[in-house]
Formats: sequence, C-alpha cells, structure tokens
Amino acid sequence: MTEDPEIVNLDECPIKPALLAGAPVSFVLTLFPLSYALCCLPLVIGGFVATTTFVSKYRIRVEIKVGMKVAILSCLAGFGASTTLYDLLWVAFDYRIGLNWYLELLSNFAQSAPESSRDQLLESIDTLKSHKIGFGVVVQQALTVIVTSGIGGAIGGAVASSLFKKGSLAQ
Amino acid sequence: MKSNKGESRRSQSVRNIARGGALLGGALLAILLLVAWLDWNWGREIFSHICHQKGDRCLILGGTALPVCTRCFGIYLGIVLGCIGQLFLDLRSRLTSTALWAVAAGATFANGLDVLLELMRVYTNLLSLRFVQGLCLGAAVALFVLCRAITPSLPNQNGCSNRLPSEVSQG
Repeated sequence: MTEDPEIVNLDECPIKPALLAGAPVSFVLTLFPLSYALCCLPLVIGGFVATTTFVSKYRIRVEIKVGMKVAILSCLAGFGASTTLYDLLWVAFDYRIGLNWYLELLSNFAQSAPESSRDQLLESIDTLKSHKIGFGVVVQQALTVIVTSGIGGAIGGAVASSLFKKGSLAQ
Repeated sequence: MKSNKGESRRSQSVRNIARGGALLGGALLAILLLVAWLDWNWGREIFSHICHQKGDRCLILGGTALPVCTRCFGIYLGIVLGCIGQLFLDLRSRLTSTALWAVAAGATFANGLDVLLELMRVYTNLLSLRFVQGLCLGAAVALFVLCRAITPSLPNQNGCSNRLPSEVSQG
C-alpha cells in the first residue's frame, strides 16, 4: 500500500458533518429498545458511521484516538437526544417509546425461560411497569448515556479508523 | 538507524494505545464484576441499555448474574486480552494483514452463525460456546485495530528537531 506523505492539519477538519451523519443513526437505533436483541451494536454502528463519514469527507487517515473521539461524541449526541425525547414523552403524555413491545418480548422470554431466571424476568417486568420518572432516573439515564456511548463509540470509532487507511494523515 | 528510531516511536504509540485499552477494559470488567458481586441494581440499570441481561444467559458471580450476557462479557474480556497480547508479544510485527482479516472475519462469522443456529433452535443456550465466541471476537477486533492502527507522523522525516537554531540557543 502506498501512503500519501502529506499531513493535514486536524483543526481544518471540523467534525460537524460526521456528527450530523452518526448522531441520527445513534438516535434512531437507540430510540427503540433494540438493545435487547443487539446489545451495544446500535451504538457501535452509530460511531462507525460517524468516523467513516469524517474519514471519507476529508479523504484522510486518522489515529485511533481521533476516530474514537468523533464516534463517542456522535453517540453522545444521538443517544442523548433519543433519551431526552423519551423522557419528554414520558413526562408530557406518560408514554414510553417501545415499552409495550419490550414488555411483551420480556413476557415471552419469561414463559420459555428456566425457572431460575423466570422470577428475575418477571421481577424486572414489574419494576419497568412501576417506574416513575424523577431526579434519580434522569441521573441514571445520563450515566447510562455516558457509559454506553463511551463503550459503543470507542469500539465503532476504533474499527472505522483502522479500516480506512487511504488519504492524507490528519493530526 | 533512523528507520529503527521511527519504527520504535510507532511501536511505542501502539503500545500506549494497547495500554490504554487494557486499563479501560480492565476497569470496565472490574465494574461489571462489582455490580454483580454487590447486587447493585442501579449499576444493573445502567448496563441494561447495552445488553439484554437475560439471567440464564449471564455468568453468575456470588449467586447474582453479571449485568451483561456471557457473549458481551467475553467480548470485553477478549478486547483486554488482545491489548495485553499486543503489549507483551508485539503481535503487530508478527501478524500479516491477511491473517488479521481472516481472524476478524472468522470470529464475526462464527458469532453470526451461532445466533442463526440458536434462532433455528438447532441448540439452545450454550453458555461456554457463547463465551468463547465472544472472547475470540473481542480479541480479534482488538488485534485488528491495534495491528492496523495509524500512528502519528514524526516531526520531520530526518528525525531532527523542527526548531530553528536560534530557538534552540534561546531555550
């Protein structure tokens, strides 16, 4: 592989276009409780899209830490926005996005689960139903957004920055 | 000689990334184990957004299930082990690009196939298989990222200081 020796100043590459691409993906994928089926994949995908957009937009190669930073920021923006919307609907209309579907899925799993984990699932269904929004819940959600965006964004950004190695090095 | 110096700096940069990955990943694993050990519901809620937390699919510590499933725990542990492997064995200089692609693709395919076979009810809930596959995927992704990582460029290609002689004499 031939590498372009030119070095691009990273300050000349604003991350806004990458955020505009990655954040909506994270937003859509985290708005519904897809985590039950896909674990941290929605956030990994959101971060991957952001870093890929950043790299392809400016035709650059980036170090892992730069790719991770872009991905984590986009995940924070997307997941933060979806959590805010979820809470707004919860407060305003007492409606929680995807809750009925999620509860139905949990009930199905509880029926087919072994006895040891069935009680735990049923308990978590009751907890979910009785949840009320408050300061504690908001703080917990904020922590969730930070921790999970860090994990998913770091993985997605690292993979994207090591996958695309064409163009000038930006640093 | 100059080439060796440049290579040494690149190697150091990758070692720093691997060290960071091992430390952060280790901290994450420690938190996961602590949440289970202390049966900390608040911590469990935080991780509920990146994993389904089905009791029968999680490893048990002190009578309580971990807040992430076996595959997710395997992936995180694999990432840490991949970083440690790079730190102590310098796998970047030993593994070829083809080998990296093959290992990463193989691990991803194996995990996809496992999910598919479970959906088709060929077998159900093999914890050890899921753990090993997650471990392989995490280690493969970590090595793929570290071995293909783009390292910062040297101040100049001759390995000399970029400062002017007058600047050097001043300070």
